[in-house]
Amino acid sequence: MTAKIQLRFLIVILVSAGLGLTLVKHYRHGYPMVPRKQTAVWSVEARISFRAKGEAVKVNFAVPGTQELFGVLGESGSSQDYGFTAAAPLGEDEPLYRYVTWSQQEAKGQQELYYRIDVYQRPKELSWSLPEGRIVVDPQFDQAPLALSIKEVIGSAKERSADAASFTSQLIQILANADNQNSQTLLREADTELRRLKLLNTLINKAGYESHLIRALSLGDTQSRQPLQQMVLLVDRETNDRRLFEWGNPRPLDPEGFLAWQRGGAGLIEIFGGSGAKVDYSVIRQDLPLTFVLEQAANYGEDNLMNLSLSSLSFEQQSSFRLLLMIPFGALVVVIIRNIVGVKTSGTFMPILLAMAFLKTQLLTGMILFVIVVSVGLIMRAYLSRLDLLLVPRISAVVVVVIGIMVSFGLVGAKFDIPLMQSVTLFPTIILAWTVERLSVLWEEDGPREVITQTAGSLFVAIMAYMVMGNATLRYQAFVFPELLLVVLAVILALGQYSGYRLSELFRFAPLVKSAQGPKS
Amino acid sequence: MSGRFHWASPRQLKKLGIIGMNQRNGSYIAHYNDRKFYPRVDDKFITKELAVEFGIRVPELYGVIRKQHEVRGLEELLRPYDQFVIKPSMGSAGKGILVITGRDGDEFCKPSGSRIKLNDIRRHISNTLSGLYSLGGRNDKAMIEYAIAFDDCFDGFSFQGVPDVRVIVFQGYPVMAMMRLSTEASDGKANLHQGAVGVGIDIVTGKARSAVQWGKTVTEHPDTGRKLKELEIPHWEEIIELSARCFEMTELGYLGADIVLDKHLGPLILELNARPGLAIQVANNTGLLPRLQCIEGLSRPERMLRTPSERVAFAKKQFSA
Repeated sequence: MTAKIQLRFLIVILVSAGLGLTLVKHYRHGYPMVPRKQTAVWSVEARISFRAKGEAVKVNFAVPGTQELFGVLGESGSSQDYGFTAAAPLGEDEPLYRYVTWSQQEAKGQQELYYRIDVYQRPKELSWSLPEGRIVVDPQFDQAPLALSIKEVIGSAKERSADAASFTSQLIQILANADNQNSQTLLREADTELRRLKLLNTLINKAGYESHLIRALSLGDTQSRQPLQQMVLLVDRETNDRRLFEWGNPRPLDPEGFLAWQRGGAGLIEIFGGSGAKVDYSVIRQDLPLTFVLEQAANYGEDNLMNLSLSSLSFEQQSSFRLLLMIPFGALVVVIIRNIVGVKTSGTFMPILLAMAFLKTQLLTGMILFVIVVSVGLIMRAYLSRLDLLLVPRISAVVVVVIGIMVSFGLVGAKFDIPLMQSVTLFPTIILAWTVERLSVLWEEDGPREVITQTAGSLFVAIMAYMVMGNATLRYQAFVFPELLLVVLAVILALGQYSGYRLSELFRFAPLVKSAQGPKS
Repeated sequence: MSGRFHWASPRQLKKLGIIGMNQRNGSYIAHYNDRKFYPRVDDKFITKELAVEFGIRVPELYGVIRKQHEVRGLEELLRPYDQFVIKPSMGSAGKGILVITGRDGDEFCKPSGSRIKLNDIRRHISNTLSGLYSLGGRNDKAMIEYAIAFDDCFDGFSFQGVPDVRVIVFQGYPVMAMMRLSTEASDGKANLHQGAVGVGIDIVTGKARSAVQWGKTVTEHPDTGRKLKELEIPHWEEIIELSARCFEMTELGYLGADIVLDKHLGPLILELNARPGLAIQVANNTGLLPRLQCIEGLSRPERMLRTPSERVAFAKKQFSA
């Protein structure tokens, strides 16, 4: 009894650990469940050009921080002769914006600095928390003429709106209205786009909604010489909804497709010892497999869990692991077919090895070759058994015979260019020899009928195992989520408890039911 | 009727109390048969030694050859005997059994009438020792033992081979029995899956109940045509008690005992099996499960303190047809 309870406990633990890890990887880290899912990766390069005055130069440049919709694969800065200080690492509690710094003892004339960041579109499921913005309201907005206008404008916008987004739309419309006295008062001071956006941001925040000033880069297809767009990001924390607003456009923009380069209204670039700064952005877009991208992100240090992944192994090791990880699924097939269906096979796991050979040779080719090699082997073995050899020499002789068959197949195949015969070398020799030996013993002890039943059974299981082990989606899943093995183990353990009838027994014992039902018929 | 596949539903089988392979392995063999006792039945030499200790009748052991060099003393060993059997201690499915029915000068006679020399016997023993006939090809012992003189009462019921009685003994209680009759199809062997006829035997009377070959009901022997209903096993009382006594000797809770009838010595245990098959249910047209559960329902003292004959009496009362 306790063994049974232990086993159930174990099964529950294994399933929850295996499935749990898989789901965490899928939902938290965005590993796709299906293979070959592609994601867009953008390489954004910012080129800063300025004129140096011939003295010590220091350039502070704002760069993207942790993004909600984009993950960072890597960043770098380069420029001849300049010392580069990288930005603070990305993390949960980073400041609202980050800076990179270039510096040089002395520089003169036209200077060019490059900063490059590679970002990828995060899978939809992922959400990053946005740090609370601390907005500092300009004191003049709280004083006589402006404070009144602000109150009026907010009031009329609120009257015509239902939520933060519609309020902002209304606000933009009112501010754009040249006939509105209050708008005119407010805009008198706001002569640049940045100041107007700051005004808009202040109004939104004063109305009790949350918004941030951001500089964003539109990530579309590959393009060069793109400017940053200054916008207001409206955040609804309750619905976790984010909208971007441009000056003069009451329609919100979907933040998807925009990389928030800088949040908060501080300067984008600060230059000491230089002037006439200009920043150009160029974007190169590539589509890469999502798993590959995620591994890259893991290597960059965004996500440490994944550093344990099998993808960090060498390519050669990876491919052997890919096959290795499929064997448990083959074993599961064998358990199901033997214990639930009740098909007799020769050898418990011979069908798995056969299926692995089929994976290399293709199914039909493999089956034809297997039947031919085993038949020839059986004939040779029948002769050997007449010589009354001892076991080990006998099996060794069968190995030699099987290799002989394989070599002659390969030679004939090469001579007449028959690819089917050439692929015979992909079969595991020892397994074939052992199968021949086993089947011939079976032939002597139980007759040809049993040999045919078991060979057919083995082939059937091998085909089933081949179909499972060759399934591309499953192969991918087993490789990316190796913890699924725990689930396979749990299923096998659970099947180990199955004490019901095998499918074959429903047929085997049917005569008893028939005679019990009607002895007269 | 034939030709068409008939399927039973799991519920129907359950209702009849039929036990399946998974249940036999999981709930009975794994549960009642301790692995460490397996050699007691897998190695026929150990079985024989135990049987002698426990006073259970088996074919007498004339000698055993364990090492290659002992083969030289074979002639001396065989001198007193005209009839004997040489078999591997751990052979499977009747492989490597050499039966000698008499001597003719320097030669030995086989049942088929052909003659062999002493050297042939030596070679046979050498092969046996090196594992030619044994499970997994392990090195083995060769046993030389009494050749059973088969009782004439089974004439016409068996083709060539040896009819034997298989009794399933659960916790010392005989629960079901059948007789296995070899046929031409089974090549004289008494294995049901090779085409031997299985005859279900009533535990109380020792008379035939029903019979199957290849999983189908038969009423007469396919080769001799004898009505199988007429089969009645003599010395039944002795046979059934002999089987029940194998429990104490092996300590295996789920056991198959194979018993043969000798013309002079009566019932003898030929071999024991720790993994007896399920075909006995088809031969008897009855499920094993109710009988096993009946025994499982007994209290511990009831199971432990009863003598073999008390157990037989209980089984007869409970499991009469």
